[in-house]
Amino acid sequence: MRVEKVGFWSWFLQRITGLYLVFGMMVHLVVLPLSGKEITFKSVSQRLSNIWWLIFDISLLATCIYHGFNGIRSVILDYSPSPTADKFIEIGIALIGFLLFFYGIFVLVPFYNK
Amino acid sequence: MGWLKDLKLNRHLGQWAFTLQRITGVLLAIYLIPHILLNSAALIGGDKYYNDITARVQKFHILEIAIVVGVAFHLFNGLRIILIDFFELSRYQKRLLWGAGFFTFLMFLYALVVYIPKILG
Repeated sequence: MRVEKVGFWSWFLQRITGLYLVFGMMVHLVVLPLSGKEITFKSVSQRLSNIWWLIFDISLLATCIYHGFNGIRSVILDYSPSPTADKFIEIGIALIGFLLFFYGIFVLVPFYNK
Repeated sequence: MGWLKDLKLNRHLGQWAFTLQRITGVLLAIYLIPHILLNSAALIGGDKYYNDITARVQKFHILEIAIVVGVAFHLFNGLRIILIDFFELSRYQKRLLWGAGFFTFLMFLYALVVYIPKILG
């Protein structure tokens, strides 16, 4: 049997973010496309000037990156080569995740009331 | 590869669901990176650049159908896992899996309705 390396919080937060993403992805994939608006720079920046849409997009960005990257981490740890390699991989994944998140924030926030 | 061996040893629907959950999860996480980078670049670039980039990406509507189906399976099967974990419903795992498959199929039909007109138009 494999040794369980992924801890409680990783398991728990994966489910909490997963539940939020059920809502978030339904808005992202169903509500927005069915709203009938064409995706242009104008329509997107108009939507993002609304504080609630901005908060929604940032929350989706954060939960998506956490869920996706923590998922990749758990898959890698399941078949991990060695504890040292695990640490490097974990730090690398976290680093890329944070960079992506702050890049997204840096892009999204200026649209507020632009 | 461990997961291939698992699939060979446990020929149950649940093992397939586990494997598919992993594959869709990893693929979607990888897709997330260019998705965020491309949309960010498009938003930074402003009006003309944005519309140019989105017009180019729209050529890949067939891939978008696959992405919607991948998200749908991962979402509904994930919901099944959460229900089983939190409410101790492992007795109903098979029935829940059929439910997840049914809703995934609905989302596939939805994706066809949304994207086929775009592919043709």
